[in-house]
Amino acid sequence: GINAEYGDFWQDCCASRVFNTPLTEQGIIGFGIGAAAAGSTAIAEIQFADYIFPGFDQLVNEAAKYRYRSGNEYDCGRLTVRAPWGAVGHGALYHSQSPEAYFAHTPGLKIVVPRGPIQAKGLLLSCILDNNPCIFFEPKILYRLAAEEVPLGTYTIPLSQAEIVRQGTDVTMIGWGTVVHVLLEVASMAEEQLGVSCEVIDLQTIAPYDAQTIEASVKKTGKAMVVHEAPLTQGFGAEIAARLQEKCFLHLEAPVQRVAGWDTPFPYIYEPFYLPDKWRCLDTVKKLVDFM
Amino acid sequence: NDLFAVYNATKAARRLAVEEQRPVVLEAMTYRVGHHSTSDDSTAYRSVDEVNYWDTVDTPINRIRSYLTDREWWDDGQEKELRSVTRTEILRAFKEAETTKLPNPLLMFDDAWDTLPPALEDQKQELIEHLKKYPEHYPLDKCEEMK
Repeated sequence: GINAEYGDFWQDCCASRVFNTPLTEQGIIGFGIGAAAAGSTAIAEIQFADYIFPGFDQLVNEAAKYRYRSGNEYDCGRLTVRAPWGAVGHGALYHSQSPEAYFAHTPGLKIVVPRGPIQAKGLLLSCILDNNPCIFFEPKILYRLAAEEVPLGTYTIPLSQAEIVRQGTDVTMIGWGTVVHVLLEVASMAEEQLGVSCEVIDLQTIAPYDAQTIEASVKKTGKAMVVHEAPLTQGFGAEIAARLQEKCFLHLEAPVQRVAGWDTPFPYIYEPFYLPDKWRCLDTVKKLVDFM
Repeated sequence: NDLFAVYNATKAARRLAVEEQRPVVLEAMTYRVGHHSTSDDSTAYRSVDEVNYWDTVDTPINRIRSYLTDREWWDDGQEKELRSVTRTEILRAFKEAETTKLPNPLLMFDDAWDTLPPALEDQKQELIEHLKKYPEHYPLDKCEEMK
């Protein structure tokens, strides 16, 4: 793989099961759908999430609708699509995108984003075993940055379950992937500098998402912020914000905040000004706490 | 990797295109010496000896250098001189580029659309306010003035 994901794996198992394809995302995904529909467990790699769009029709109109249109007689649930995702420091327009919002809008797909190696293994295995076509976005900046003691045996982390990574009482912070680490840092800063206790939630599965966990948290804290690298307008934070104001209205002490990339293509030299960094997040904590 | 062959083929292709008014495809075969990308370690699928051969023996620059030195149209002294002069020029350009400031950060908001929609204008204002509050955490000194 482009980030040496497969290593020597392909030599150990049969070389016929790990192979290169022509460089056509529509074909890679279409082939994966076909293989999955015929009964094979298929894992299709897209080299960067930015390149997934030629396969958009295959994912939205074929993969997502396979079971539904056949009255559950057929399905391509054995398909998992994996793609490197998110900002990497120098990725610019076409090596930095976070396209989860486009796909979360399509019923029939599952969308998953791990925050580190331990979650990556558990969540990827769950995606592979899941009976629905899954898209697994891997934060590429963490490929070389993150190192953890990953258990050697088989384990899975359930899909559609958010994880409360840090408990808190004053503010609920919701994110996924790389941003979870930013939020954890902001939570420490908020504690130190403002005496504010933040609860940090890693959504893990974007679709279908665990609304129960985040609603319970927001009912407890009364203040919520969603953070994502993807542009603000129509980013997945919009869905969460809509849901939270609908389900937790009487518990809210401030409007639900979103901190996100600006509504532009992902810039190259301006990346430090574009990302929802810890300063913008900390400032949002202040805004939430000072609202009333 | 043969400079003259490429020249002659291109010349013939051009003649075909101009005289016969038809499209021509030139396929020039060479060898990729470097890794595919910074994430690639090509020793995993090819030998170091193979790479070395294409990097030192059958390589366009060395081949044309041999052609010139065989005819005494080029020598080591001239080679050394040219390398030195070129290196100095490149380092000078490098230094100049490194010390040049990046453009005004607010240009980040331009050209997504032909004009700035209201929502994006709001976001731009939000960034301006944010940078006023937290300037020390952003590489503003590397950029031209915000406006």
